[in-house]
Amino acid sequence: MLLYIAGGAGSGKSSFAESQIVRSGLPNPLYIATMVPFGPEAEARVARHRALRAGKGFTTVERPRSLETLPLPPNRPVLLEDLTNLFANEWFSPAREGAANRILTGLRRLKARTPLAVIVGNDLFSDGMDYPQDTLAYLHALAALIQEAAALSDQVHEVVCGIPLRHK
Amino acid sequence: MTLIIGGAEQGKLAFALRLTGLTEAHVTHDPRSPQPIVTGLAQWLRDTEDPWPALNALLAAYPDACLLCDEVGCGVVPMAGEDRRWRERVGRTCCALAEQAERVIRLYCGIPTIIKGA
Repeated sequence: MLLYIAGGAGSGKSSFAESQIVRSGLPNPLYIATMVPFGPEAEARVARHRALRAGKGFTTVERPRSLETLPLPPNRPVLLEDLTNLFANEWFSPAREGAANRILTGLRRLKARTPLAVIVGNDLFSDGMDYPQDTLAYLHALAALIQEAAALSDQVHEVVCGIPLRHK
Repeated sequence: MTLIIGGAEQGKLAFALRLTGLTEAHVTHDPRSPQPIVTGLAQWLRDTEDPWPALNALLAAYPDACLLCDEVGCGVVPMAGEDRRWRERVGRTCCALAEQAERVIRLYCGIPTIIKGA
């Protein structure tokens, strides 16, 4: 079972995504953290997410890139946070070529090898499109990746003000 | 309390006036001058680090208030830290308001969708 959970900044998407794992009752969830925390703001963000997850039994694995080769212990649910960031790490690196395909391979693997995989993503597409060329190219490729991920997912939810809206 | 959200220029205020039967005279842009309709919460949050003293006072005076807020979290992460913190503040404030609200309505092209309550 693969779930894609999207939302804007501060929308409550992480909290909803975690609740899906907790509600499943599946033991020993794995948290795949994609962000490389640079600086105090990123560290504060990581600390906030850690506090949210505290007491819910998650084991954290830091994986900024190469989801497709991540060792997956059997029978554990997985929360991946987040797809947007993972793609940015791959895209803005020397390994840009094939980045989306590698991530899709990773997602298919998660779907096949875990009892439940919850993927968090950021909505980045509703703020005008007045960005540098490289950012636009990233957004274009990201949007295609998200559509593929949504097609692969059993459920797609958009979280708005902490309220989940189910699109699929 | 009713929370009305949506992108900029989606018809939130016109809808709130229709919903409540109130007029522009009952609309404030600043929760510190309470009225039963508050519009532009996102803009007000620009310069308001802690919105809760004003919002709690407003909700005590008008428990059935309509609060209107632009959704601002759906773009590329802003370059300026101040903008990032503002976006985050708007999002978190709306999550907390939505939790308290009897109703949350999202406007899209002028069309309301009730996403919480009835």
